Amino acid sequence: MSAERIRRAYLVHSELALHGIVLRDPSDMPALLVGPVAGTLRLLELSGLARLGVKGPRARALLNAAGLDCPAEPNRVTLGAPGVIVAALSRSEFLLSTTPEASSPKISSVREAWARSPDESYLVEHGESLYCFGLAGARRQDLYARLCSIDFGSPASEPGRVLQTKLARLSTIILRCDGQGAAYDLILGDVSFATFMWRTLFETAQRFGGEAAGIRPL
Amino acid sequence: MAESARLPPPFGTRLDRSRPLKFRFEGREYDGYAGDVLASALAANGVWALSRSFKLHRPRGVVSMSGREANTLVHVDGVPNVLADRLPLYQGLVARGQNVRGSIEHDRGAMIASLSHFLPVGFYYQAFYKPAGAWRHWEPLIRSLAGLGAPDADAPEPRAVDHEFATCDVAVVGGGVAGMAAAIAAAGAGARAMLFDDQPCLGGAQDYDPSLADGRLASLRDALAGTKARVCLNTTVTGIFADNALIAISASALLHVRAKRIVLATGADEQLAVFRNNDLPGVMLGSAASRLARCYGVRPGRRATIVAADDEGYRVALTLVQAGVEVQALADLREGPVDATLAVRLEQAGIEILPRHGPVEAHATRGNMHVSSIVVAPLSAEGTLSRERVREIQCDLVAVSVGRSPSLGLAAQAGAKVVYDSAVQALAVQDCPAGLCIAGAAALCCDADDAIASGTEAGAAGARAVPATRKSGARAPAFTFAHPKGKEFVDLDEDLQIGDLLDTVAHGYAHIELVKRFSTAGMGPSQGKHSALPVLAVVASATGASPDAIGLTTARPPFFPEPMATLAEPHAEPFRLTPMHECHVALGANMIAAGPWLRPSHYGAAGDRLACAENEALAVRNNAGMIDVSTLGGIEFRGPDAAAFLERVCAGRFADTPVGTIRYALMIDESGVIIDDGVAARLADQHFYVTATTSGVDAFLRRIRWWNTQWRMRVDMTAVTSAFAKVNIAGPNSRAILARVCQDLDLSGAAFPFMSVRTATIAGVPARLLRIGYVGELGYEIHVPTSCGVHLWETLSESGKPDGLKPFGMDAQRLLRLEKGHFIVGRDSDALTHPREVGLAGLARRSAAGFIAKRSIEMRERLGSPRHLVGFRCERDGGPRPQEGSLVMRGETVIGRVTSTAYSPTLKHVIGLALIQGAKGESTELELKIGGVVRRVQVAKTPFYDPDHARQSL
Repeated sequence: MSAERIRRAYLVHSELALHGIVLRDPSDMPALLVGPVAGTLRLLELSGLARLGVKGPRARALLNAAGLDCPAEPNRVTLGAPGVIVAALSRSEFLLSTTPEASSPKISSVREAWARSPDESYLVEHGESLYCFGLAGARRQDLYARLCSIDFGSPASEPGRVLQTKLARLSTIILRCDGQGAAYDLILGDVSFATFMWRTLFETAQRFGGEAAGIRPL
Repeated sequence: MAESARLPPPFGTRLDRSRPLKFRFEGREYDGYAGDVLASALAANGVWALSRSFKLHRPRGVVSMSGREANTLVHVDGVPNVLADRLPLYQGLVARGQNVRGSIEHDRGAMIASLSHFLPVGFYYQAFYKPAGAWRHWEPLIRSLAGLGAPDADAPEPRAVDHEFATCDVAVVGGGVAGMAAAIAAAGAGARAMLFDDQPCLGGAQDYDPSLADGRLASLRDALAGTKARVCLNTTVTGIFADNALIAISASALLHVRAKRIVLATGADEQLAVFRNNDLPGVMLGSAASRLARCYGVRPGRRATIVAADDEGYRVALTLVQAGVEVQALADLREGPVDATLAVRLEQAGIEILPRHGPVEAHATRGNMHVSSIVVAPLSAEGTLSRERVREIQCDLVAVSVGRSPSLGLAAQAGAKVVYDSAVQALAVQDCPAGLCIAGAAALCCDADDAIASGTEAGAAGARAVPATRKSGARAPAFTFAHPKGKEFVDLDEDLQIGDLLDTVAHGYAHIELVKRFSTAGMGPSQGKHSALPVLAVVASATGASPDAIGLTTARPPFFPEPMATLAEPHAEPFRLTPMHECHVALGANMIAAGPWLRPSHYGAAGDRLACAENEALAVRNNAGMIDVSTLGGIEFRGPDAAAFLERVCAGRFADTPVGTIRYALMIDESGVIIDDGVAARLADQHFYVTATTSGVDAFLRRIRWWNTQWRMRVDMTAVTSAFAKVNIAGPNSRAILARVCQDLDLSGAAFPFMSVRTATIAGVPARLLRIGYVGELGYEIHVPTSCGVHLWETLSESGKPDGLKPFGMDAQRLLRLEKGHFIVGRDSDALTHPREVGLAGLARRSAAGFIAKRSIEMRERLGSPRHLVGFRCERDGGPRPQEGSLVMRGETVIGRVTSTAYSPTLKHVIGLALIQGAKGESTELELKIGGVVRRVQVAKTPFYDPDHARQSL
C-alpha cells in the first residue's frame, strides 16, 4: 500500500462538521486569520499545520544550523525564518510551527539537520501529539477570561510571548503571534483533548459573536 | 395589612413604575414593579411574614432588607434558600415560604414551639444515644425536621453561571462613598480598578439616607463614571484568599479576581437590639424601614415606634413621617441625640422622645404574625429596665437603630487582626497585611467627609496597608435585655436566645469558639453579622470576662451564602478521545469512562455487556481480535544515560537489553511499593520506548522528572501517549492478518520473536511493532502516528475479515489477562503492595545497585511478606458468584479481598485473584463472604490459561 493512499484524520474535524463548518483550503488561511475579522472573534482549526519539537542541550544549535533564528529568552515566540514560527518553551526546548500565512520547507530541513547530527538534541512529533487552533479578533481577552486565570492584559501576555498555562483546566500553550500587522494566537494542547477544547472554545466564542472555520490538513 | 402600602414618588428610587409585574407567593397572585425585590413587593401588598424560623417555626419577616439574615429565605421556582430581600422581582415568579408544614399562617410545625422547654441548646448532644440503638428510631424524625429548605427534585437544572477570571491593580469592595472615592483615586492614578457592591446601585447607606452625603453622592457617581474603573453591582464578594484572590458572585456570574491591592469599604452592619419577641414580623432595623420607603416606595407600617441608641434612629423617624407613618414615640437608650437639632425636629413633627428608655418586649397579633405593640421602660443607672414603670405603645412597626458594627468579616479572612475594642465599643482592625486597606465606616469613619477622605487615601497609589482614619463616633454597644419569659433572640438564624447562651456557658463552654459550636451562634446563613456582638456581650456578662479578652470567632469564607449552582464551573469535565473513537462508535461500542478517556467496554448494547465480552474473548482465543490501546501511556527515553536512568526507576536490568528487544518494566517507589508497570522497548542504543498504564503514566513521569532534577543524568524524557495511535491485534490468526498489510518485515517467530520490537511499514504508515502478549495469545501492538490511527484501524479490519477478526473492548481484555493471571496495578495491588506480594520478588532482586527502591525491597525481604496475591477457581453455579471486593475470611477474621474475578468462557469456570494475608501455599481453599454468605473456593495456580505460555510465543 503506497503512502499516497494514507488518509490522515483529525477527530476534531468531526466536531466541526457537527456545526456545519466546512474545511477550507490552506490558501484561505491568511485571509481568515489575519484579515479583517467580521465578527469579534474567529476560531480556526489548524491542526493540519506542520509542527515539530526540538529539545535537548544542543537544540538551539541544531535550529541555528538549520537556518532558523530562535528567541533569546524562554517563553518568547518569533519568526524563525519566513513561514516558520519558533517558540522557546524553555532554554532547551523549542516548538516549531508552519505559520498560518505561508508554508515553508524549513521544518523538513530541521529533520535533515538532526539526521546529520542527532547528538543531545531530540525531536518531538508535535504534529501528532498536539492540536493547534487559531484565535483572532478583538474579544480574545473576553474569551480567555472565561477559561484561564492569566492576566492577558499584562505585558507578559503581549504579542511575541508564549503562555504555558491552563485553559479550561487543561495544560495549554498559547503563542501570542503578530502576523502581517494583525495579532492572533495559536493555541496548542494534547490532541486527545482536541474535541473537548474545540467544543469549549467554540461555545465560549459564540457568546461573543465569534465564528469558526477549519483548514484542510496540509 | 391587606391594603397597598405603596408610596408615591420620590419614594421608590429603584422602581420602574412603568413596568408592572405579576408574581405569586404562597399560591396567591400579587402585583409589583420592576426594580422591586420579592420582599419589597410582598410588603407593598401587606405580606410581611415570609417564612418560618428554623427551629421553633416562628413567623419571620424582613429585618435588614439587605440580605443579611436567614429570615427572608424562601423557595423560588424550585430553588430553596433564596433571599427575598435580594431577589429582583420578575414576571411570573412563583415563590413560597420555607420551614412550613401547611402554610405560613397555619404551620403545623409551630407546635414545636410549645416543646421548646424540652429542646434546650445542645439537646441533641445529650439525647437520642441511649439506650443502645435508640438513634436508629430517632434519626428519621430528626432528619425530617432538620435542614434549611429542600431542593425540588422536579425543578429544571439550574443554569450554569458564567465563570470569569479577572485581574486588577486595586479591588474595592463596597460601593458607598468611601468605596467610590477609593476607586476614583485608584483609577485616577492609572491603576486598573474594580469596584464590587452587592446592591443594585452605588451609594451604600447614602442610598436610603441621602442626608448623610449632603448631595455629594451624585458628584461621586459622575466622577466614577468618568474613570475606567470596572463597577460590578449586584455582586457580592464572598471570600478573600491568599495572594489577594477574591471570589465575587452575582446571579449570573462568578468572578475569580486577582488584585494587587484590596480596599475594603464594606461599611457597617446595623445591629439588632435583643429583647423579648424581637423577631416578630414588623420589628426591623431602622435602615430596613428607610430602605423600604426610600428605595422601594413601600410604607413599612402605619404606626411606628423607634428604638434608638444613635442619631440614625432620629433620621429614620423623620423619613417615616415623610412616608406618612404615624411615629408614636422614639425610645432612646441614651440621654438624647448627639445632634441636638434632631430632637427639635422630632418634637416639631409631634414625635414623643423617651430618653433613657429601652424595649421590654414586643407583643404580637394572633399567631405571632405581626408586631402589635411594644412595651418600653426607663433604664436604671445600671442599664437594667424598670419592671414597674412600663409603658405599652400600640404600633405595627418597630424600627431599631441602636448602632452599627464595622463589617470586617472579609478583612479577617484577608488576614487582618480584628478585635473588639472597648475604647470605641465596636469591632476594629488592629493590624492589616500588606496590600489591604480598610476605609469608610468599616474603619470607623463617622461621617461622609471622613469616609470619602479615607477612601481617597486608601485608593491612592502607595497607600499604606493600615486602617485609614479611626474616629470615635461610631459606637455599637450590644443592647441585650433578658426577660423572665425568654424569647429574646440573639441569633435569628438559629432561634438562639439569651438563655441558650447562659446555658452554654453553664455547661462549661466559655471559650467563644466553643460557645459558637455548642450553641450554633453565628453558624447560620448570616454568619453572625447581627449576632456577633450580642453573643459577645452575653458571654462576657455570664463569664465576668471583658469582651476584649473573650475575642471573636474565626471568620471563614463564604462571608455570604453561595448557591451551589454558582460554584459549578462550565466545561468542568474534560474528556480524552482516542484517534479511533468514531470507528468504535460506528461499530456500536458501549463507551465508558476510563479516567478522562472514553473507551469501549464492549461492542454491543449496554445491557449485553457480559455476553459480548465473553464472545469477544472467545474470538481472540479462537481466531483474532483487535483492541484500541491508544490510551496506554508512552514515554520516550533518549540520551547517553537512558539505560542507566531506567535502571534507577524501574525494577530489572536494561543496560544489557539488546536493541530490538523488550523487557517488562515494573515501576516501584522509594518505599518499595509498586506504582505502575509497562514494558521498555529498546529502539536504539540510546533510545527506549517505555509504556505505562493509562492511569499511571502521568504520575510516573512527574516522579521521574523530579528525580532527574537532582540526578542531572543525560536523558530526555518525552511524553508521547497522544502522539501514537495504538492497536493490539491478538489471536492465533493475528500473524496472517498482519502479514497482508506489512510487507517489509519478516513476522515469523524466529525473525520477530516474543518480547521484541521492530519498526516497519503497515498499510503505508511507519509503525512500531511490539510483540507482547498481555492477553496470552500470539499478538502485536502496533503504534502509528496519531493522524493515521483511523487508517490503521480500517486497514486491519478489512485485512482481518477472512480470519474472523473482531474488535474487542476493555471487558474482554480484562477477562483475557485474568485468564493469564496478569495483575493490574491499582486493582490487584494497593498502596502498600510490594513485588514479593505479587510474585515479582525475583525481578526486584535483580535490579541494579542504583535502583531507588533497592534498599526498601531488601528490607521488606528481610521482614517477610504479610500478604500475597493468590488465584482461585470455582464452578459457575453451586453458590453465589464471587464479586470484586468480596471479603476473604478465616473464621471470623477478614484476611483479604477478591481483587479480580470473572467467568472464563474458555476454561468454563469462575476464576479470580485475591490479595490475602499469610504466606504463599498456606491454603488450599479460601472462604469468600459474598453478600453475607460464605462460599468456599479452591486455590488455583496462575496462569489459569496456557501455563507454559506456548500460545503467546508462537
